[in-house]
Amino acid sequence: MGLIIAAAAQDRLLAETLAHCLSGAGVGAGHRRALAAAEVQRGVEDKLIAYHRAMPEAAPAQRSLTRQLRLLRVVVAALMLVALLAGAATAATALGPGGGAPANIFHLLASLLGLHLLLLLLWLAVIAFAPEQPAGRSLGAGAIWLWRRLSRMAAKEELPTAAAGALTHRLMAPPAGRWTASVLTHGLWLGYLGGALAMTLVGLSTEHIVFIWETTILGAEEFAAAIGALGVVPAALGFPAPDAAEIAAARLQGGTTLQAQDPRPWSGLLVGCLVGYGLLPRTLALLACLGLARRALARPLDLADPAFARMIPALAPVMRRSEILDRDTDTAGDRPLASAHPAGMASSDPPPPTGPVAVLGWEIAMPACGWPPPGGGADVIDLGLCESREDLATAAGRARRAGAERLLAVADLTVTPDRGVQAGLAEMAAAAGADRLFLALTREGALRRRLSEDESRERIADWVAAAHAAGLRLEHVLAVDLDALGPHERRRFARITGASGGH
Amino acid sequence: MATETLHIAVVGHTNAGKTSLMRTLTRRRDFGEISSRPATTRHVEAAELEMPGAAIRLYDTPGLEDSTGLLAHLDALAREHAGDRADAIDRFLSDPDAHGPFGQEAKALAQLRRSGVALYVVDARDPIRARHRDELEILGRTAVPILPVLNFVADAEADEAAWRAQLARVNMHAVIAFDTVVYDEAGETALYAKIATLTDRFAPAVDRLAREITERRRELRRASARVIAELLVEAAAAERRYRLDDPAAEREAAEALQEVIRDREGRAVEELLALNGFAPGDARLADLPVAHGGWQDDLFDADALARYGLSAGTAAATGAAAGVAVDLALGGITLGAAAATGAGIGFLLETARRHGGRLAGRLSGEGIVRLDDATLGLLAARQRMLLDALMRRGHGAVAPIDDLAVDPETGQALARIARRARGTPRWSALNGAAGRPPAASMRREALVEELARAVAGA
Repeated sequence: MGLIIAAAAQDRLLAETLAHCLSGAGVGAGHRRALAAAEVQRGVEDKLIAYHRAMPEAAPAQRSLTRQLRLLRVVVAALMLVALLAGAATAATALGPGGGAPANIFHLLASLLGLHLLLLLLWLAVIAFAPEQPAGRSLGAGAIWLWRRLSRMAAKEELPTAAAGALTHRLMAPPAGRWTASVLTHGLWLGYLGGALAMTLVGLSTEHIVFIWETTILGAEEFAAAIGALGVVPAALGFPAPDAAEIAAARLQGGTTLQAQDPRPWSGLLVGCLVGYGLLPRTLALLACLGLARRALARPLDLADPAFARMIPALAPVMRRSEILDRDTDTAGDRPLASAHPAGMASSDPPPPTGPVAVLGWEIAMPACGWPPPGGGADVIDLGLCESREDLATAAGRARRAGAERLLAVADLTVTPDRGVQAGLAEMAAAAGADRLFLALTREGALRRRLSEDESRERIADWVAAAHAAGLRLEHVLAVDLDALGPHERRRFARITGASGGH
Repeated sequence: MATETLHIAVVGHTNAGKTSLMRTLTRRRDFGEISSRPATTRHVEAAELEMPGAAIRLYDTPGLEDSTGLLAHLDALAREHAGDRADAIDRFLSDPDAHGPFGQEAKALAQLRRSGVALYVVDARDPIRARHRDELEILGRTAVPILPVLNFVADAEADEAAWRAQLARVNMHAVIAFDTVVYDEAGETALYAKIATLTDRFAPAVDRLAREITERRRELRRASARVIAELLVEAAAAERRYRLDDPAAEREAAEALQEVIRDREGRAVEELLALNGFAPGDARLADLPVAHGGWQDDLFDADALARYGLSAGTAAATGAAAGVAVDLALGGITLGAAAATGAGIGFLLETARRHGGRLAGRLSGEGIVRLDDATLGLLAARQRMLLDALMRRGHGAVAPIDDLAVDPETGQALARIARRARGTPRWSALNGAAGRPPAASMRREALVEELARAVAGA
């Protein structure tokens, strides 16, 4: 088994064992140390492995794993011994009592190799046609089951159970499962056949066995052909095989006595068949499965396992670190804080104007009520919708030349009142006179759709603060939602713009 | 081998969603500060994206507040010292005294000049204004490739088409629509693909990053699906036994089972949330169908099924409680072994009751309550719905998302797989001693694996 579990797999096994044990602890000095250990690694899997290896529970977990592996080795060794003995016993029985007693070559071969060949062919068929099937019923799976049973009997605590579970999963889960089970199966069969071969050699060495064949309905030629065919593989391996004459001579028919038989070809045939049809195929299969099992067992950690997945954001975050550059040393800032100014706008409307009022829309889209807003007085000077700083300056100039008493700027509440806004307000205040500048804030509905209650209030307060900083009077700032112009708002707007008697 | 670093600056107007974008891309809810006030981000904050073999750094910058003024300032500088416009910017940046009131903008532009590409974030709900044009003018002068990112495109107010048209007029055709509230994996992949195009030399690294992110998302989805699959298998295999001759016992057993299942579902939900980066008390939890630590609908509410469009086709236990099916034990072997095929046999219990003690005496006298098909389907359906909601939640999300609907078909399909666990009580940690893990078994694992695939793929 040490052949199969390579060092890298040991690391992964440890991580798998611990991940299912540590119930998402994530606190304590052990955790922090482990995090530090993980930090130096690159790659999610390496981090997970480093983390678990650095946990204080790693040492007992490793011991558990080692114990489980040892138990597995013991179980497999015991089963091998059983297989060996079984093979030897079969061979001993098949060879007969010795002392010149005839041994039917076909019965001998069938009893030694029959079941093995049948199951080998079955195994090949399953591999060929349904390789994805989990390794269910096979000697190998049975061995694992026995090991799990013994393990459960020996220790029921969390750590050994987790260790056994992790080991089983890595060994038996698809795609490795089939190959691991096959390795064990072939190994056990090899043991059986090895035992049979050993006993056969012992038998051939210590007893006098005469090989015969007999038949009732078939003829000598068929048998000769059959044995000849059987002898192909042994002959290729270098074992002597009986020729036609020897085959004919070995036939047992009622009444005749056997002539002296040259033991070499027949022994050669027997041993050759055992090796060629027994040990050799199983060895080849074992080696093939061993290679495949190794490859499948070397698979990386399953990152989709929730036990790992929940650690990944902490252990291997997408963002490795963040740092602040160009830290703002200027704490005063170059803008007034809204908190320095009471939020909220004036409760009462400003008095109606005595002269014409200029109205401009500042960085707003065409409002729902149209432009200019309805209900304005006859003296309203429409400056249009302005965008750029130049537009503002031009418009303010027009207003002054037209002798406007007030300049009413309509601004969008969804715009954040930043320094650009302040600069614009300052420009308008400079052009029209700060105490003549009025600010109507529209789109409150849209604002409340975008932001929460508290944030909306903050936004309005920020606008008020910006206006104040530009020199506007508090009562000159009001909220008039032009997208939802109700009768109340219309009246207000009318009053501000000097509409006479408009109710 | 020294790895080159790709510097990506995230720039834009105040409150356009730069920090939100950073949070989504870095998967860190706590990155930077977000508020609706001006000048929230006042410094450049860098995030290094973890990747073997290459380094990519994202930089969050202070908003460009007064681009109109800055543009005028830069033009004045250019007139003073005859040189090209890129020079003017460099001159502005290199002399702190020349910054004037544009200290924040200077930080942003300095970072921009050091970067290989800039993501210019705009709030797609706003109309394109003069300030945007001024910003684009300034950005254009820095000679750094600009990729406009339209944020909040999922909002009703957003006019993506108008923005694309306007941007095309200033020759910006590669535009990304990316909503940091409703996370869209395809959007993120497209973002990185366009960055790769604009930064030629770094294209392999960026592609690798995009692949890594996609891979992680897939693993996260599979892990979440497995959590749900474990829940369903344990719920299906859970059972409570009671003596038939005790009239109150059936109700007690049913209620005990319901309690244990509710609890188990709660734990699964907690695990799902933790997996997907939600903390308890996370504000975004309010939008998910997990309010106040519990579900808004009780799993065993008799009307819940109807509300979710599922029909209770099996014979529910009468008088006991909704959502459970009753089974009978016949001398240790349960008749419900046939329930592995999903057939509820509540009617047998009815018969037993009607004929009273006679029949009960002949049977071994034990009844078993298990979760019935319809409720198992409901459990599956709403877990699946939760998974969808979690996968779609961007880390920059602050506002609520729409309700997702429970799909009864999916629920029933999942329940059909899960109910194979019925009749194998040792597969559920909910039976037996508390704290004992369910029996490890290859067949159970295979079922969980199959169910997880169905949950993730459905």
